[in-house]
Amino acid sequence: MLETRTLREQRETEDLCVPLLEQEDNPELFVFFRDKHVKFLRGMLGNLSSGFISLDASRPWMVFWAVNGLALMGVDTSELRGEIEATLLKCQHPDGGFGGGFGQPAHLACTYASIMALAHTSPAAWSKIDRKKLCEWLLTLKQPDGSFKMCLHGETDPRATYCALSVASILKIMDKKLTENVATYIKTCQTYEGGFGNQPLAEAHGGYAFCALATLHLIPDLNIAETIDLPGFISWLVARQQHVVPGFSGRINKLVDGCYGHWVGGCWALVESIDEGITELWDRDGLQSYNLMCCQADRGGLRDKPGCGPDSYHTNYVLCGLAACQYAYSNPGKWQPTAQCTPSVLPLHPVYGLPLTTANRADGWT
Amino acid sequence: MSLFWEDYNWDDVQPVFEDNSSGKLAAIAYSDEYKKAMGYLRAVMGAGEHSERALALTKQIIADNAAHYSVWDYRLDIVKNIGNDVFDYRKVGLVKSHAPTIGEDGEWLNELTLDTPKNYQIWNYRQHLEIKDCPEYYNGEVVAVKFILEDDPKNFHAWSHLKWTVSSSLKNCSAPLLLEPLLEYTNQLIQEDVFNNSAWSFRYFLYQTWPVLKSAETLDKEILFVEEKIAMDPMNESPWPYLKAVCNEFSPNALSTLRSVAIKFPDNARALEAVAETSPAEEQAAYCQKLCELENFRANYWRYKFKC
Repeated sequence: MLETRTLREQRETEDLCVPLLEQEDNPELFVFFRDKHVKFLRGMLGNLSSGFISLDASRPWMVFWAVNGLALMGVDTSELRGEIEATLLKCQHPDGGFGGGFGQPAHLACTYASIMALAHTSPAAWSKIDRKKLCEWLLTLKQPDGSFKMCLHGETDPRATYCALSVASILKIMDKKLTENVATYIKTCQTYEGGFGNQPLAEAHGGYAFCALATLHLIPDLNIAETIDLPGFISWLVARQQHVVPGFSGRINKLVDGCYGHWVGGCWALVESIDEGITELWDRDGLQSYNLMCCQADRGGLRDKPGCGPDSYHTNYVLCGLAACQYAYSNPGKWQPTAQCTPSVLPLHPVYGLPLTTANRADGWT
Repeated sequence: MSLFWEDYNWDDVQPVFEDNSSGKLAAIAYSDEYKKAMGYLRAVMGAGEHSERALALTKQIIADNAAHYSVWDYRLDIVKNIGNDVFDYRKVGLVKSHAPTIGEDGEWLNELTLDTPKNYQIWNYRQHLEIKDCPEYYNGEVVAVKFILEDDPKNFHAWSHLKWTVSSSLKNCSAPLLLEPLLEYTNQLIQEDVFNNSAWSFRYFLYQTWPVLKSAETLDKEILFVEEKIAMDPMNESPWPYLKAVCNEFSPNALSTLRSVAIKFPDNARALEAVAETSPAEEQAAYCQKLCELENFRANYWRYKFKC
């Protein structure tokens, strides 16, 4: 009998999840506990204990995950606008972009989080983003091969291209210098498995796959089907959803994790928009079951899997995953949603990762 | 030898503290020591100071928070500017440690790597400390990666770093890393856990880097290796895309080579998929039907893929 670490860990995960999934027929349990999650995220915006010190360079993320999650659950966040603006503008660097906290150098991930959080505020706050400096800074990170560095001495990977192009797009400072060679670079990150990794010849990974595909959607007039090996990508994507526990794993032979409902599940809307023939190749109900039965923590907040504690990151991305399985989209670019069931959350903008209404509202700001 | 940061003289520096009267969302209750250190860090980092005291300060903040990209970036600036004189590994003999790194305290860095293996910054930092044409550097990085993978055999960052190390040694070192021991390493890891997809991915990377599979004899041996691993559990997802990629890249008869392996595993969805892919279009409907029976939960996909 074959026994390895992977098999053992997979079995342990199934043993935790299957009893929960079996209770799906119980209408008292197959419920989205919205109020608890709202309370959890509100708490994560308050004062955090010294145990959160490792997030000192991720303050914009803490704000973004919580505010975005609240908004996805339909909470009116307008009373938070002043504080969101004040917290994030402290992170804006005088030379452009946003850092992980006050007085920190700019970083692309923090810049994405800051700007997407500011999209939840007002045109007045939006106008305080220094777009000219931001654009100049983005160009300093751009590499000749089409990739971007995350920061001055940072690593290059598809996260960086996604963060750079998504903020440039929503702020309407996109230009040819930013997008030049990006599609060629993204193509080199597609692996023999069909997914995308952080660099050429890497192992395919859900996080990079989403960033790669979303990046391609941000490049104007690009024929995505001709840029990448689309059948190979779909094959990898299909295999990320497991049968016994129908959430998504991020890599081949790795465990299911609620956040991949977004990073992998979120790829489906992006893929379905490329070709009308690609429709319902995955199990929407399965992802919903995993998210509702396995990812809701008793005390509120959402999690990776049973046995893990909830956090802001997983809460936001499990909510995004619910949007992924609860809505289908038509009219790519405009992203017109159709609910596939009684939804727990608002529809998501499949590229920006914001609630669709929030993204469309910010799109109207100059 | 460097001192604790507070043992240096900071009288000339005005620390910069965050104004917490507004913008308090997700504010962390830092310890007074951390707040103080960050206050000085903002001041010297903002002024672009490259000094021993600043180096000591970054060490303290990294000890409190190794995920702090800002501090790593700043530390790198300092090391690159003053490290050659103060910490040149050739002078202090860090070559003896597992990962000698130019201008940096290798033992400290190794300890930190082991303590925070999921950290993005540390691997990137190690890459910036590359000592070109120094075989000990590249060997040291391999040792550091292996340490991490012993505890966490699918650590994404460690595998990425290993690939970078191999490529860089080939590009920058006259005595680069060699294929055989690395290949043997993947043999060992795949033997331990045939589902370790990271090890499969690394194996493919090796063959892309050293195209030895262009020789028919080596290719045959590799196909046999994969076949044996598939036999351990034909539903294992890892070896199948690997096999397809190896066939496509190196076999003059890619489809028939793939098919010859796949037909040995009847009634198995992974194998059947490969058989179907290598069949003429008119035969695919039958395989598709069978796949839908074996994996009903993916029926929509099989019908889409094989257009039936």
